[in-house]
Amino acid sequence: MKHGALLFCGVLTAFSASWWGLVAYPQRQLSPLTTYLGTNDAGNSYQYPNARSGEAVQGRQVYASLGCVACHTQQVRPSNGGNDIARGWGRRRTVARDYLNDSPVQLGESRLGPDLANYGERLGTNAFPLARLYNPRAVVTNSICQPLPFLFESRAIRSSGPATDALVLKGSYAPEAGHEVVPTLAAHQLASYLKSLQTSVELPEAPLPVVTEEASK
Amino acid sequence: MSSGTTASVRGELHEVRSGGPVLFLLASGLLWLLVGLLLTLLTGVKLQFPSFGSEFAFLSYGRLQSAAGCALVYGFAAQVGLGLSLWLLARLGGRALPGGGLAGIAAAFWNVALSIGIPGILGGQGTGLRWLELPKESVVLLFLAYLVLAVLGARLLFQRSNTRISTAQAYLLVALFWFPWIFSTAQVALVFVPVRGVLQAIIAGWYSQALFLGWLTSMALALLYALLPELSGRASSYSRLAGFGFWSWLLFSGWTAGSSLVGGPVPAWIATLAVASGVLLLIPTVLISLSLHSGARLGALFSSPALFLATASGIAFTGYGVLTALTSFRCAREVLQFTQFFVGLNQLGLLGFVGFSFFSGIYVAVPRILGVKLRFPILSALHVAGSVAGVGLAVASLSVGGWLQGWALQGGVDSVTVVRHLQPWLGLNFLGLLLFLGSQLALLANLLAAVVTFLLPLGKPVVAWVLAPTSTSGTKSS
Repeated sequence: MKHGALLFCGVLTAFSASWWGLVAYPQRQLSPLTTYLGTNDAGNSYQYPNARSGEAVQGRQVYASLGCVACHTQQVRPSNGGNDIARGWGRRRTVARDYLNDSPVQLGESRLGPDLANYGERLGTNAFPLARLYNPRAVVTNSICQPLPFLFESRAIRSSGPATDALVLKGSYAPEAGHEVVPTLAAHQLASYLKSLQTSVELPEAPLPVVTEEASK
Repeated sequence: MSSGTTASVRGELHEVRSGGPVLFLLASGLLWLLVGLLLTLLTGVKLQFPSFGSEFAFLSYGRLQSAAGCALVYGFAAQVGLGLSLWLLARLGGRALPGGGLAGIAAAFWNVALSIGIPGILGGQGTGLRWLELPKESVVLLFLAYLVLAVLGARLLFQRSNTRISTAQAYLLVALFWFPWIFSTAQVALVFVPVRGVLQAIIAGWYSQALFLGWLTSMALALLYALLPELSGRASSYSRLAGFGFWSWLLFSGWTAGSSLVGGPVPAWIATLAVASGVLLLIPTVLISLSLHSGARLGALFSSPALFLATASGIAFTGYGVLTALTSFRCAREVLQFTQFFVGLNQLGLLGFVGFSFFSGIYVAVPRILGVKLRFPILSALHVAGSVAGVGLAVASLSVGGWLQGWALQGGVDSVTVVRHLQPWLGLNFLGLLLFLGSQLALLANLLAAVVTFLLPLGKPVVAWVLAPTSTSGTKSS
C-alpha cells in the first residue's frame, strides 16, 4: 500500500457506506412510522400502540436499570423463523411499530428466561404476582431468576394493621410472625410495566392469525 | 540492509522514549481485565445460586453482566489495544510518541471515566444497551480522552519515516478513525438524543459489531501482522493476500450488524444483509488467516510465549470468522439465536483472538520498553497455558451448551427446564474463566518482577543517598 491518501479515502468510503446503510437509511425508512388507527371486527376503532401509563414508564426504567434484558428478550419471531409463536410467547410476530413508544428498546439477545413481549397478555386479568419479584421460586419452582428483595420492605406490622399490598408468602418464604413484606414504589412500577407488555393487536403489517373453529376447539 | 538496521535501532530508541504512557495504559488495562473477569465470574455464581447477594441491587445479574462487559471492552481491550497501538505506531514509523505527558493525562482520564462509569452501572445508572451502558458523564470523559490519544496516534502515522504503509499501519489507521465515529454516532443516537423505537436496536447492533469487527479486530490484527513475521523470523509468503484480506474485511465487516436481529422486529433487508455479509466474511477470514499463518513452523511454536500467543490468536481469529460465517445462515440462527452459543463466540473473539494478540504484544513491548527481560519463563509458560486452556474450556462449554439450549428451546421444552440443563455447561464456562483469570496473575507477577528489576538500578543512588548520612552519623557517634 504505497498511497496513503488512497488508503485513507478507501477506509473513509467503507466507513461512510456502513454508516449510511445501517444508521442513516434505517432512520429514513423507519421515521415515518406512526400510531396505527384501525377498526376491529366489531366496528370499533382503536389505536396502537398506546402510550404506557406513567407508572409503567417508570417501571421500564427500573427494568432497564436492573438489566433484566440480560436474560429476557421482548420479541416474537415469525412462525417460519423459530417456534416462539408455537410456544405461546405471542399470537403474531412483533414488528417495528410495537416499540414506537419505548426508550430504551429492550429487544434482548439472550433467552435464559422466557420472552416477555406478551407477558401482560399471559397474565390476563390477574394482577401481577409481586411475590415473583420478591423471590421467583416462591411462585415458579426451580426458577433461576434472581430474587429482588431490595424492591421490598420487610417490616413489623404497624399498629394500624397490615399493609393492603403486603405479599402473601407461604412456607419458607413467609416473613416471621408479626412482620410483613411490602412492595416499594419501584416494585409496583416494575409490575405495572410487566403487566403492560402486550402486543397481540391486529396490524396491517402483522395480522393476527385467523382462529378457525377447529383450532379454537 | 544497514539502513534497515539503523532504522530499527532508531525505532527501538523511540519505543523506549514513548514508554511511560504505554506502560500506564497496559498496566491499567490488565487491572481492568481482572475487574472484568471477576464481575463475569460473579454472574457465573449468580447463574448457579440465584439468591447469592440478592439483598444488594448492585449484585443483580443484569448489572454485573453490563459492568463486566464494559470493564472488559473499555477497560481491558481498549486500553491495552490503544497502548500497544501507540507503541506499534511509534515503532513502525520510527518516531517517538509526541506529547508523552499529554498521552499520560489522557490515559489517566480514561481510567477516571471508567472508575465513575462502572460503579455507575452497578448503581443502576446503566442505559440498558449492550456495550453502551456507561452513564453519560463518563462517556464524555472517555470520548475526550480517546480523541487526545487518537490525535497523537494519527500524528505518528502521518509523520512516519517509511513511505510505504505496512499492513499493520493500515489496520491501525482503521482503528484510530473508526472508534470515534461509531462511538459518537451511537452515543448521540441512543443516549443523548435517543432515536425512536427499534432504530435503537439497529444502531446498537451496528455499534457492537463495528466496535468488535472494526475497532478491536483492527488493533489485534495490526499486532499480529507486525509481530508474527518478526517472532517467527519468516516473512509471510503471501503478502498480497494480506492486502486483499484488508480490503475485503473492510468491505464486509461493516454490514453484519443485523445478525442479532434475524427474525426480529426490523425491516427484513437488515437481516438479509447481515446473513449475506456474514457468509461473505468467510473470504477475508480465509485470506487474512492464510497470510498470517503462511510463515508458521510447528517446531518454532514453543520458542517464545509471544509467538505461541500470536499463533493462538490467529487460530482464534480463524475460528471466530468461520463460526460467525457458518452461524449466519438462517437455519442455524433459528436454533442458536438468543442462546449462550453467541456468548461463547464473543468470549472466543474478545478473550481468545483479541486477548491473545494483546498478550503477545505485551510480551514483546514491555521488555523492550523497560530494557529488561522477563525473569521467570515458568510464569510465562503458566500464563500462556492457563490462558489458552481457560478460553478453550470456556468457549467449548458454551458452544456445546448453546446448541443444546437452542435445540431444547426449539423443541418446546419449558424455559426453567432448559436453563436447568444448561447449568452444568455454564459451570464449565465458569471454570474456564476462573483458569483464565488465575493465569493472568502469573502474567502480572512476571511483569511486576520486570518493573522491579527496572527500578532497582534507578533506586540505587537514592538508597545510597538515604543511607549515606545515617552511616556517617553512625561512625561519628561510635
